Amino acid sequence: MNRCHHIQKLLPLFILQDGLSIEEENRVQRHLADCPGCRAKLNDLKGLVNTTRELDSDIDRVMETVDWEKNRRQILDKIEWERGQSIAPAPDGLSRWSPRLGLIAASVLLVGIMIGYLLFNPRSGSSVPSPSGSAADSTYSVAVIEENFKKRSIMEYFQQVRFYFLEILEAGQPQPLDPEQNHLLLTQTRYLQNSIENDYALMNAGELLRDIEFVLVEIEQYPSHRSTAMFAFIQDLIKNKRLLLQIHLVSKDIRNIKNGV
Amino acid sequence: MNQNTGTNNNESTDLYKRMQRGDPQAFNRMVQEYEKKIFRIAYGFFRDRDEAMEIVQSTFLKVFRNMASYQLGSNFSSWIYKIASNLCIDRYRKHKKREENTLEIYNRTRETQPGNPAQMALVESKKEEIERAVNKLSRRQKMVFSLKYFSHKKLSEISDILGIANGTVKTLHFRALEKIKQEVATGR
Repeated sequence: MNRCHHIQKLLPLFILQDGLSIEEENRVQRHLADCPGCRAKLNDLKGLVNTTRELDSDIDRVMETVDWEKNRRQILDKIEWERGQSIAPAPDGLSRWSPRLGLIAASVLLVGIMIGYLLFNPRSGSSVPSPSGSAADSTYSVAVIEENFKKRSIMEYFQQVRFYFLEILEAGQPQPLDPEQNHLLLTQTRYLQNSIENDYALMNAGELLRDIEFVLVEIEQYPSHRSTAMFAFIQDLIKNKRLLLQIHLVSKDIRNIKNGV
Repeated sequence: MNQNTGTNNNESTDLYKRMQRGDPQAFNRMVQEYEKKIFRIAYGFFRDRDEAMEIVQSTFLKVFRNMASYQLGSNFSSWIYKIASNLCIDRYRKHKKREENTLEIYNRTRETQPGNPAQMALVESKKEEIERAVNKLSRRQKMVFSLKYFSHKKLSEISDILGIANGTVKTLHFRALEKIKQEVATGR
């Protein structure tokens, strides 16, 4: 019975001829020769797999209805449009910023790029491959520096949010929450959301930022007269969304992201 | 483009370098090479032409935006399939009603289909049952299923694309088939 169960788990791979070692394949064949039950299962599964394969031919029929030329033109037009946007001076997200915050962000960015450059300069023995010479290589180096800076900023931001939420969770009774700190974190959250919006590698961080933003917006509405129920509601939000755990996991993921992958 | 011959590798590297420099011709060539392959993955996942087209377009835009971070020499097709499969999974997550909607569309389509000869009708009805069962799979099972049956990837390639262990891919594939078998048997 156990043996049959084990063999049946291998049957799909046996039919597809994919993923089984020669030894496993021989074992399945030997078992099938002696076991009518498993042979019946194999035939069932073959029927299923064959019908599934027929679904595949449906895709070909659907693909014939697509105007690929037009689709390609649309894609390339969008790319061209984005290329034009990327050299435009002021992204939307920044227009909401007050001039003071803009100045702080600009200084932080500048210092960050310098630190990033010093830390990840290929001449200092970094593991980032960046052969000198072509324009593409220097574009690549700049991209890697920006990427590292972005990761570093997010990690620092997560650290701040973590402490902020910990403080709220550990408070036994309603505490006064600093509206300025909350507002600053909220601004940072939205700024980071904008800056990593299109970053495939930081997709998980983007989702977490949305959750954090939701909680910070709730806190912003926290009344100054400190309602016990409201405070408990905020604590529950942080707990239910498992934000501390998520921050820990996403930070770990970010640390493990390889450059250029 | 991704054959492991020296010449093709050099050609590919050259193409990706040109893409990193923002050469529109190079992008055009890459889009031509991959558009149908991405469509297969997305259509296999959503079974919906418009959704699949959206994924195709979003994938190439994402490639354009992140091309600078693509490491020359690494497997480009795995990278682009990974982007496409993540977009599918992400889009699916955002549309929680997808399953119900797909079933509705499926039911409507079924009602309006012209009558077929008995044999064809039997095959068609079996296909529809499977299609409906596939829609009920979990996101990860569905993605493995789509990559295996509609993009004809080896399990080891799927493991590479999705960034999960080979054993996990085998388990997801096995569970997907079991679930489909069960759904078809109960005729739900």
